[in-house]
Amino acid sequence: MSLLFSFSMNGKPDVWQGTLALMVLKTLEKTGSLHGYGIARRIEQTSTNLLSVNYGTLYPALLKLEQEGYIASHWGVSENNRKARYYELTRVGRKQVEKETQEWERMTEIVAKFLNPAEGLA
Amino acid sequence: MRRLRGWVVRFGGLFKKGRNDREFQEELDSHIQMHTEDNLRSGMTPEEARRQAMIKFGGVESIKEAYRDQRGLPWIETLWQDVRFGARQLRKNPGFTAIAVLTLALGIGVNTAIFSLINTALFRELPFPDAGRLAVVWAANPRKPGMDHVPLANADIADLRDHNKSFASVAAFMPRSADLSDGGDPERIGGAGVTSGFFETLGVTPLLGRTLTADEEAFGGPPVALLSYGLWKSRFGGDPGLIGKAISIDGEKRTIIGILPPDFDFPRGAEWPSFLPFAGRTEIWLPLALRDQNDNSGWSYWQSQERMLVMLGRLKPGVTQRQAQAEMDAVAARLAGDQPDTHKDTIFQVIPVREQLSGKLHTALLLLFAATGLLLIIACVNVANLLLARGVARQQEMAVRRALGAGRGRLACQLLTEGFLLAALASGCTLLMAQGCLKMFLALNPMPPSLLDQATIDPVVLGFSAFVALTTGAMFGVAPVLQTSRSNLQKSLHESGRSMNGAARGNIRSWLVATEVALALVLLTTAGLMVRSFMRVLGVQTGFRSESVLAFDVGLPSARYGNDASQIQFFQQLTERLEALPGVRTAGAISYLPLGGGENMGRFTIEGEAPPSSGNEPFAERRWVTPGYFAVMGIPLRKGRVFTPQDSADNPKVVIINETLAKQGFNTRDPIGERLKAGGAVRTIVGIVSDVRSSSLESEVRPQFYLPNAQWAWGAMTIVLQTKGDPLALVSAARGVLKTLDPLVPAANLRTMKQVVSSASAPRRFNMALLVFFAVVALLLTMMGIYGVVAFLVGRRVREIGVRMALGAQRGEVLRLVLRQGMKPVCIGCGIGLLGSVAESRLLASQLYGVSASDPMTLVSIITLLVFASLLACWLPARRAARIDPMAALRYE
Repeated sequence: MSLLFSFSMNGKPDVWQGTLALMVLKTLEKTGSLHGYGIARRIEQTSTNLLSVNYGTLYPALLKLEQEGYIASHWGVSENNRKARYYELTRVGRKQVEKETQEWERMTEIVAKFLNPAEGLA
Repeated sequence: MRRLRGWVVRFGGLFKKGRNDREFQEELDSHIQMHTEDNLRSGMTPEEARRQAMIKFGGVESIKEAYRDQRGLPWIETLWQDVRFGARQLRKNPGFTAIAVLTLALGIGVNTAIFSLINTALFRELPFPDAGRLAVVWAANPRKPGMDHVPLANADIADLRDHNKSFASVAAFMPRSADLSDGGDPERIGGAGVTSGFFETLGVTPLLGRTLTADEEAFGGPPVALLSYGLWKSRFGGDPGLIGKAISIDGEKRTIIGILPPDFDFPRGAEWPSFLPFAGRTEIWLPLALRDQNDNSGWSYWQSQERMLVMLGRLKPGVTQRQAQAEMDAVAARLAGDQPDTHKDTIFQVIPVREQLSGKLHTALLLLFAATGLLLIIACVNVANLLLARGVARQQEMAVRRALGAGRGRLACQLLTEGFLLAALASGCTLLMAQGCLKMFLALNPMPPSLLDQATIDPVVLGFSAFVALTTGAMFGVAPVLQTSRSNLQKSLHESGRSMNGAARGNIRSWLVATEVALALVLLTTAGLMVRSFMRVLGVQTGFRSESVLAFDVGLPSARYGNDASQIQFFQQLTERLEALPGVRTAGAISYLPLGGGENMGRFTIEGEAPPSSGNEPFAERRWVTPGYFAVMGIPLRKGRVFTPQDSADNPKVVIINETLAKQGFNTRDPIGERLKAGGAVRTIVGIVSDVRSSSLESEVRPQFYLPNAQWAWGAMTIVLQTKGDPLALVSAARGVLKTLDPLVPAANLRTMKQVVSSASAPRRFNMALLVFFAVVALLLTMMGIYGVVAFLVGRRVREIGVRMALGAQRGEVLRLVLRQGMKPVCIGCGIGLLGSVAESRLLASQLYGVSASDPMTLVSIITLLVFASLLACWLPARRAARIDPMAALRYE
């Protein structure tokens, strides 16, 4: 069992909620406002289709971020003239992206030290 | 912080489900739509595009479910669901609900009410600062049973006040009533004589004015008084100008120096032994001189070794009661050495004021509390039984739920919710019940105003009893579910919940019944013994007439009736004029009315016998009477003569003794003509009268002797009138006669002798009534419990009984079979209960009169009653079993 992903039935890893939240926030930071479908596609593209986003996880995650005030949502019209719910970062959300990015980097750094002990010793 | 915000929003999410569900559906629709369009763009056919989008999307419903869980608080929703389901269940079974709720309410309510009384009596904060350090000191003779709580002598208190190391301050007080004639009709009010340190020792400051100075305490000091807030308000209109004014008290002008705070009424009569006749409420405090030992005038009639005073002390900080007691022991030992005449075998007891004030109620209240505790357990057992029965009946429902995937925890949760719902319902009723019971107890409480009047329902107590009941309910409500294991799930489904491991459950229920029966037996026995005691007390011969006798108190103020002659003349004239009234047969007067509270003990020696060492003379109850007294009260003369008007101050001193004194003092000798030394004079015994119950209906008759009022005047007498008709019809006439003699002397405390006798047994009647009430409730609950179990057993065995009958069993045999099974736990319970009753008898013994705690007749009749009640409870379902039609039973299913 991976810390970050679980493997869905089609063999592609699903993203765990905590990791997913950071990905969502990061995606929104880049794109500004985006709907749920867009966010999912974007994450999959960014991972060069290595990840598959489970919507059963994505939507509750979006809701949770909204409840906690990191993102806000409003109804808008998509590029294809379709009514869609758009999400965007709030001020608090921006700060949170920064904080979580730093935390993530620090953690991967630590994990990296374990994975590549030679470098650490050198 | 952010997380908290999340919770708040989610909590809000509970309430706007409709709109959010719609919105989310739209969001999902647009999601799939966009995906489909993208797929179309990448060249799929429309069907394929939509299909792929749907596949990628996954289960819509499960996503919605996950979304919903995140949106609200799922466990609250579940809980709410359970509550609604539980409420439906309870509504569907109104009989079950009503019985369970009422049983719980009764058990908890009664228990709470009684405990609230105990709480008030035993643990209440006294209205004095640092009350834990207040103590009273009594004298006692460890060699003589019953000789404890004896008031102290004047000299002892002076000695202790000046020479102790344990008390920061010491004061003394004694009963003292006063006639008030200013500010309204003449009135006799209850009061106390107190020494100068009294208020300071208690830590009370007057609302207005000041307390007593040492000066005012000294004999011949300035005449002053302090009044209660109530008296000041009612009689003097709350006039602050009263301070410094002189009012007429006992015909003498006294300056009012202080008004006490509204909540201060120490000492209260109900809280002190009955030989100290404090009034129900103390309304006036007058200075009491401690030092003067030679004055014989007025009301300070004690000599140095007459014991009249209650000593009150405030312990120094850091000094414990035990240390104080040790010091008192040393003082007592020293006094016994220095003054063997008066202090041989005398010890001093230090008793905390709190204990003193609640002591009279102690045992009786604890007994009642134990009884209600048993009642609470019986109620709990009954509810447990009901829940178990219901659990079994719902076994199939539970099996279906489990088969559909509900976890045991989930089912337990649902049943717990139901249990709590039941409890919530019950607690509403409980509060009403507890308040009702408390009100009833206080209304029935025959004792004069006391600590108890301030009793209120204690929320902590209520909560605790409710918690106990709930836990039981929850435990037994959930147990049946936890017993259905996976393995017998299928069986349960098949057998429609009729016979699966019912034997084990039946056993639990039988044990519950046995417990109930045992507890009920203990309660019933207690109640039975109390009833027998009460009947014995009612049967006690008082030794005097109680029909058609009116009594009232008259106290002569020493200021205007300073000499004996004036007092003697007053009472002589009063009785003569009263006898002249049309509805009066005879009239008389006595210093202390039998059973009227108040007692005077005097030492005596028989002339010609080797005198016992000084201070060791026997004690007897001493009463001053007018010649007419014995006739009014119908006290039979056994030998000799009663007093006549010729037994006056100028003629030889005479005395009349009772039979007990005659027997104890003279054995077989004839006492008539013998001489008794009592009250500083030698008196010839002229008569023997029969014994009279004077201090209580229940205590042994003590030696008693009577002195003619004309030979030794007593200024405070109770007038007794034997009337031709209803004694109360003569009240105003008697008052009128008194007014003609002296308009300023009030007739106090008007009552009939019947009332006096009845109030003497009132506390016992109160306790008995409550215990009987509890016992009857316990019996009914137990019968319900037995009925429930037997009905359950019969229901479970319908088919078996059918088979038996088909094979030739007679109805009588079936009846016996069921009865035998039903009565088995009853018999076991009776056995246990019998042991319990024996164990309890020690607590009970002190509350009984004239019956032993293991009275066989009571035990046998109670067991018979219980067995018959149980048989009745068994018989109803057993009869149903016997009427089973074997054909119908076999086809049943």
